[in-house]
Amino acid sequence: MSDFGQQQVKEFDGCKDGIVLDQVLQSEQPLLLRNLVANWPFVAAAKQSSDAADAYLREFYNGTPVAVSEGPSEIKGRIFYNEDLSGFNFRMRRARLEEVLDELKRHRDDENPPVHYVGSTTVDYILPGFREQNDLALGDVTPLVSIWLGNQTRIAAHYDVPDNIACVAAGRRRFTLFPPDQLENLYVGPLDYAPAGQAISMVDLLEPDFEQYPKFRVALQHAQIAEMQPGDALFIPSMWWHHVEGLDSFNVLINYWWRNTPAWMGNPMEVLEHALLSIRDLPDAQREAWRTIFGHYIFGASDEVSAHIPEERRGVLAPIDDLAARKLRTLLLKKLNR
Amino acid sequence: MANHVLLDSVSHKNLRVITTRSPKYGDNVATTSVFPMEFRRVQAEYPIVFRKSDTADQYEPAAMLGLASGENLFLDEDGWHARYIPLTVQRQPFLIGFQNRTEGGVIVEEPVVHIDMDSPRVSETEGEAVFLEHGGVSPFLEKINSVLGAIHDGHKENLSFSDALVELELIEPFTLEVELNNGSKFKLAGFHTINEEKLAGLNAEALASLHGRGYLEHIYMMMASIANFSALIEKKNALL
Repeated sequence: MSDFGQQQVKEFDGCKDGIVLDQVLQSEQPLLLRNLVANWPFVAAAKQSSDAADAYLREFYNGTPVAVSEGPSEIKGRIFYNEDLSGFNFRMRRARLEEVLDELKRHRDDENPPVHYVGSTTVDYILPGFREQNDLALGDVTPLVSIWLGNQTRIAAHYDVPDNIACVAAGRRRFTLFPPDQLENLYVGPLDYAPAGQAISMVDLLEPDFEQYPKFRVALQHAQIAEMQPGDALFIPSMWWHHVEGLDSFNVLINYWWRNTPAWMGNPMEVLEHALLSIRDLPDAQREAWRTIFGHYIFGASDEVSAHIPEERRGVLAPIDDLAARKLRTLLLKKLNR
Repeated sequence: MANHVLLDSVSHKNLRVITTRSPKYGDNVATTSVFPMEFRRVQAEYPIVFRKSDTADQYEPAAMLGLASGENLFLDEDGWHARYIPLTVQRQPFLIGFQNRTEGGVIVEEPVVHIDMDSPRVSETEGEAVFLEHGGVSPFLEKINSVLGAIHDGHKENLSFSDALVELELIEPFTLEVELNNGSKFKLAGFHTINEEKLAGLNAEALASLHGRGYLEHIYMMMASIANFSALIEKKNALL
């Protein structure tokens, strides 16, 4: 991989003490925010030692069972499908956080440890009070704040719909980002069956098989890398693909997800599913006609589309508000149920 | 034997369910669980008593449909002759199952619809369609969903209702001695009812607490429903 000489994610220096400036929130490009959360007591504990970070977490834990993914050492931390995609190469079970922390401690010095990984778990569900000492100021947005914890792991490239700020709290982490337009070069797996729900790139980033995935070379030319230390944060814009590596034997990430769109808007993924059902398999000429229609109504300039219609007669072409959204949703529900 | 499976629109695309009430579809039961939310309609037809649940040391309200095991005095070959049929009978052959789902990394148990595929009600030719032609939810399944939802909530309500009554010692066993028109006698035992003496002796504070949770109304409906035993005995006499 090193022969591709990837770009590093652009660093933005203006933020510190967990305060995120609007410039970052409005960015359409990823930004690396060095030391954004270096002021967190949890980061200070993690910089002292993994044991100190472990003890810090135990103090806040309220006993709610978490979902832990466990895999054998043979998978080398790569959380993925099994050989024939009939299942996954890890198992998920319910456990207490202490049990996970104990396992991580037991294997801390293993050269090739089994995987123990707790993915996106809402911080307030399991660590009440943690955010009073360790939090970001994000202005007006109300984020979903999650903790990710484990040893050496690799999560295949995937995108998330919300905007994201990922704060490395313990252990070093490496993010490899791809812009949304690299979709066709990433060889994405099943849409409806993936290790953590979001579809993932099937290419092993550390050992890419270019015979099977030749276009992945193009993706790599557009990749941006962020090498991160405890205290660093990364802004990942909505829809950007990211491959995430936990590099140490004890890694904790705290991430913030939010959407800068009104709550009444639908989920675009559901539109894609509906389009698979209704458009993809149309005869070519009809499908092309729908490409024109979507280009016009959805991807075109919305004010031009309806400028010639009297304002009070624009119906669903008028800007959608919460009431219009209710109407459309009811109509869709009724039409879909057949 | 029961064969409970998760209901889905692919495996069960042609599934229909026979809703006719008949002994051959398993409606000949003498008791069935009922829930406070349906007490008003249940007490207009059936006696409501407490029975000890099979699995836990817990009392649960049940409607009496007959006076002997496997006897439903409201049922004959022409159907079920009552204005209201309890939810736990309406739901057949569907039931609530539980599935684990992770929400924010925490595993939560989520109720899902199961069906007993060995039930004689299951058909592909007769009865109500469960799914619409292209996989949508039929009006029948929508109704079942709300019945199962009410049962799910009702179980929780039953637990807190009977706990409150046990705490105040308001539940007592009762025995019903019946003499039929042909002179035969039998005893109905094993059920429990409201201890009216204890109820009459409650202080204002205890009464207010029962009333505040709506339990006083449930209690009086259960007490009034006992009068329906005479209707059961009449029905039994009519069969002689």
